[in-house]
Amino acid sequence: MALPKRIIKETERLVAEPVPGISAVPHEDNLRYFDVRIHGPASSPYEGGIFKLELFLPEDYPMTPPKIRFLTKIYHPNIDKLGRICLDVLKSNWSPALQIRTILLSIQALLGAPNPDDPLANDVAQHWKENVTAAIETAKEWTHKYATDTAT
Amino acid sequence: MDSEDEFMSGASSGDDFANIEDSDDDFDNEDQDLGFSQDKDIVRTSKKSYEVDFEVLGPSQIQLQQDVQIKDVADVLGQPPEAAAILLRHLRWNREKLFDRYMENQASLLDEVGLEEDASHTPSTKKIPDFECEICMSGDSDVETYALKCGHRYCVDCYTQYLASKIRDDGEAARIQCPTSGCKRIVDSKSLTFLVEDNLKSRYRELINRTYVDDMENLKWCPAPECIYAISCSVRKKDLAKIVPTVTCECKHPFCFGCAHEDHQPCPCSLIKKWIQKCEDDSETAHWISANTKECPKCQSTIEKNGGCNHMTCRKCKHEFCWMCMGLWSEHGTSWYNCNRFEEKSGNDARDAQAKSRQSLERYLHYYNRYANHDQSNRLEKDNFAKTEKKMTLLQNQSGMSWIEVQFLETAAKTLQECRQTLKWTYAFAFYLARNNDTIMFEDNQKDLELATENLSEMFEQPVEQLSAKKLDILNKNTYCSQRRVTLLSDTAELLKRGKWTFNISLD
Ligand SMILES: [Zn+2]
Ligand SMILES: [Zn+2]
Ligand SMILES: [Zn+2]
Ligand SMILES: [Zn+2]
Repeated sequence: MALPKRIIKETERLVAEPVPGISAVPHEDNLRYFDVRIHGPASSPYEGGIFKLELFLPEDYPMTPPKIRFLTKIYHPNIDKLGRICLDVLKSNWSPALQIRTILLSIQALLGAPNPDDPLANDVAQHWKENVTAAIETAKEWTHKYATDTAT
Repeated sequence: MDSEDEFMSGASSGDDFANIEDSDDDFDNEDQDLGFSQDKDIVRTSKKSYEVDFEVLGPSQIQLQQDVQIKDVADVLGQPPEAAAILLRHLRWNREKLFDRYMENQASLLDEVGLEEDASHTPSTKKIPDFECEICMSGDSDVETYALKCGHRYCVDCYTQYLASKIRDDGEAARIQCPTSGCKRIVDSKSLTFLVEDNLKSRYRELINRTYVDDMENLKWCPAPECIYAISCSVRKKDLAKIVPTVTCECKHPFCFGCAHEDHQPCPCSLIKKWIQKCEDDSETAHWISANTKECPKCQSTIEKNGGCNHMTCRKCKHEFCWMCMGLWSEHGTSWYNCNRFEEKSGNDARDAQAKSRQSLERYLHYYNRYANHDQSNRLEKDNFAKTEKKMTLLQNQSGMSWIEVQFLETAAKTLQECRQTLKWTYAFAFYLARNNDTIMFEDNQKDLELATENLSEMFEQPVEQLSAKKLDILNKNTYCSQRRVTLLSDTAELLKRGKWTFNISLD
């Protein structure tokens, strides 16, 4: 039941020294479960959007990476319909020396630099490769439609 | 072992080792010709054009191959065998690369794998004033810490846990990297032995052995669950557009050496990969097709398919039809069997873009339908293996035939399964096939095999009391089916080898 010191420290630091454009707040009843919000990076199709994610630290964290998923719908070649993210540091390139903070920064960077050559959402990646302008347009529309309602 | 040196000199390249088949006992025999030409398994009589040479290797043979290479490299480099083993594993058993790197800069290579020339170096832990470990985010001046040569230091507990999780959960062994993100430093085996708990050491050894097969291009593990055998085969990646290398393991599991998927002859690896991907992408559209029930085309009552045979008889109205095309069965058995070919529609519709996309979906569904149908029949027939055994017992009791005399049922069951497997993949193949003169031959072969298989399947599913009278018929049909399958596979493989097929998609 006791929370490892590492998780306590990470959480404290996330609150004390927040990363610009990113927030991660643990649930009161489950300190391994975080509500995350990431602001879409400037001059990306996601600019102006605020994306909600859920993040869970598994039992053997930090030996295994956090589990993380977009809750807000997003049009991105490396993020699928279920919000799952294709990012090397969340899989084979995970290192226990990485932290929640670094992972969230990597996700923010992924929003700024989509990589259609390593796709998770095949149809989106296809669109991205065949017609970048139109794909970016769709991404902007989705951002406007799903990620700008900050009331909730 | 005096003969060992002689043995070494005979074996000049890594590929040759793959062919060593002699057991440890033969190894000491001076007179044994250790050339590889006389290998019993390799020399086959009357090899068919779709067959490839391969050899099954058990654990001791896999170990022996490694030992031979290690000793050879140790002799050439003048290093102890343990060091040669570490170097070989590090460079994925690529001896040429190992020798090149060694000649180029011996010190840096040895250093890279933790075999610095200062052999007396033993790993040790260290206490650092006011240390804070980046993994557990705690620590102080008394905590024992460890670092590789890269200097990335963590507390010993975290290091040990990290290695344990890599070995136990990720199955890594020979090339575990430093825990620091982005640091490519490999945890050398001295450090591993020093840090890893004893209970994980045997798992570590096992993994080290597994990586040998993973690293060798001419070796592959049998993908059957729990199987301990590996297959050695000379087919390389670049050959896969010309050959479909099906191999069969000691455990009887047939699989593709090229992609480790199930036996998918006659369809090349790259096409089955595309096909499976396509089926996954289109599965929602195509889902209804694979359903187990259909309506009788005459009386609309629901009929469930419960055996492998495509000849359906509606229980209610006795209407006989083909499960695949829903057409009259009477037209299938006697006249033109038209179930395997998709008639390209006239070019008229093609002008309309919508009709075009509908047609391309229809075309896909045509092939998918038949592919999925054979797949499903095959599954049902696999379940029927247990039923076959029951049938055999029943037939023995009813007819007074001996166990040997009822074996024809098992033979037929096996043939049915092989034919369904082949037919299934002929439809993926046909989907990508561009029309030319040879496609007609292919479709004829496919049609013949399909008709023969359906006939055999129907005979096989008759009530047991009729089976003894039909034994000869079943045996004849069985032989015919096998022959049709061999013909289809041979003809298709022959043209693939000669690059005669054209596909409407690139083969890479
Ligand atoms: Zn630590
Ligand atoms: Zn390092
Ligand atoms: Zn096997
Ligand atoms: Zn294959």
